[in-house]
Amino acid sequence: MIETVHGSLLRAILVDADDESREVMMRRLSAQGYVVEATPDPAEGANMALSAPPAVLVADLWMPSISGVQLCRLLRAEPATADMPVILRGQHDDPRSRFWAERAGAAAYVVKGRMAELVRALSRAVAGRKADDGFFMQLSGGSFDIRDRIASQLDIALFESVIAAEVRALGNHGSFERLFDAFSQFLSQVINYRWLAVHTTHPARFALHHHPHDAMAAENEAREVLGVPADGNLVRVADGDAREEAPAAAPVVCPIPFGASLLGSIALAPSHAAAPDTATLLSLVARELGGPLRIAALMEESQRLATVDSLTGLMNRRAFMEMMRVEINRCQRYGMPLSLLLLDIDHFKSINDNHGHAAGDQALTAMGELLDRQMRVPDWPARWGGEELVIALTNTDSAGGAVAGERVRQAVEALAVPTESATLRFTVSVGLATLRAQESLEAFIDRADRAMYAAKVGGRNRLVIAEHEGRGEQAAQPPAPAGIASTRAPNGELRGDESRP
Amino acid sequence: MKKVLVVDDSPTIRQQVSQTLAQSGFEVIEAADGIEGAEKIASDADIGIVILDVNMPRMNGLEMLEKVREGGRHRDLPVIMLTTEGQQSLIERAKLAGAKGWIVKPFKAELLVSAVRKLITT
Repeated sequence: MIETVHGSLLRAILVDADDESREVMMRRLSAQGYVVEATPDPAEGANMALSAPPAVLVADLWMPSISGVQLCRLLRAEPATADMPVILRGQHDDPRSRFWAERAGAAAYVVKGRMAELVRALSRAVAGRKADDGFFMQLSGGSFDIRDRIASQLDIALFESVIAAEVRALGNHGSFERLFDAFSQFLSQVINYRWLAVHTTHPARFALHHHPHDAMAAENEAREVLGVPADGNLVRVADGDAREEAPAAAPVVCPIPFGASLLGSIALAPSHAAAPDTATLLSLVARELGGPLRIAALMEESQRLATVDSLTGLMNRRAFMEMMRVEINRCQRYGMPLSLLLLDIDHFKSINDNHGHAAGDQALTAMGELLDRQMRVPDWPARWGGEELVIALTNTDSAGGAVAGERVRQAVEALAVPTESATLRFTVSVGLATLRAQESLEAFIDRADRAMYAAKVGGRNRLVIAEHEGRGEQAAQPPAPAGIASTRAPNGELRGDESRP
Repeated sequence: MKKVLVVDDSPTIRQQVSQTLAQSGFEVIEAADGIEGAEKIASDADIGIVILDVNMPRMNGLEMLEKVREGGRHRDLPVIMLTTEGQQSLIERAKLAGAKGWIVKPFKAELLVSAVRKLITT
């Protein structure tokens, strides 16, 4: 055996179950200058190749007991034969056989009986392999359990495809947060880690899973490894699925590709109990994670486009209505006050007529920015349509609503919007309504709308509070010269100066 | 014909290998670890091939191989690794240090004999 390894003749192993075909092949290949060892048994062929790797191995694609595909995959995976070319032969010139042979890592697929094709494939395969350095390997006494090895190869392939399918299935989660939560739940079952981090650049998102007791250390390590600057933008999942222990091995980092582009990186700190193939597994996971991340980003973006008014950057009417249905329900159930401000820009038509529609748009954009800046976090400003804006004031009664409304009115009055032709100054008429028990959303908005209309009729640039007890709204206490044209509170007092809860 | 040096910390393996080679007419000397093996090579010019284990106390086979080859010395002395290890990284390291072959125990007697016969320097 050794002599042929070191000799100038090329050794070839031929696996062919058919005696006659094997004899013919042996003769033909010998005539081509190969030293041929032939066997009808694929397991024996594999053993011969693993014990002393030949220059090339030729096998049938479909054989009893062990297929050529299995044999080829096994030989690819074993260090001794990883570089040894394998040529697979099949009965038919069909694409599926070629596909399987190629996927198994065969150097070529040749249709049986086409001898010239086989000889060419052999020469190419032998010429393409690494130069023979005279080093020989004999990796066992000649008794590998081939079936065990093939079975374990199949287990590995199956495991990898299951992992890949699990990660791909995460594409159903519509947001980065939910995707990362589900992903961390999944990955912590497969890999033991102290922390897991995912970072994407477009959009810029950063998520981290760690043990509740390990927050600071995990975040610092993850930011350093992934090069993410310290800012507030972090999705954090903290639970006992991440291990709490002293740092073990150095963190593993993998790029997350999507097509030809790079979405970001994934990193994890292996725990002491992590398997040695963690890096391999993580790169498999990273390859599959690109799709779900992209889908989540697209869904977030389309969600944003569907709910945000592009001009003002505020919620659009549909999103506002959806939010209000939930909010009204909540407030009525828990007996919390809810107020609504409806704003209409005064003489908006003349802004458009005198300065152009672009100027009108700029006025609305400025209003959006103002409301976004002005309102408390639990308040919900939205564009109602045209030059109308609406603000839901959660946990706010009529008096608190009047304070908030007056503050907005004054802020708009003080607002100067520079445009190309002129600096715009304008005012708003504001209607305020506070939710009644059992009131429907439509009726609630209608009262705010009528209060706003009353403010218009009352001279604009003022706030009118809708009548709360059902007697119709009244303009009352007209403060000079512009200000709260408030409806009368039941006790006749103007409560606009009370602070909101 | 030159001598075969068998380096292995297991007396059983040493004896088994020595016997196999002696029966085929080779003169065999033994060493129990890398340090002893390197000393034998330095002091005995009649050694024509080395059969070398990997896992040994004090100095392992790969360290010994690298030490023996240091500064280009003993470049032509053939070495065959005979070990229970089959890790690709170890095999690569042995190749780099100029080993001629890698045999995993248990080995076939005729394989070892034919390899030694082919490689031994005269």
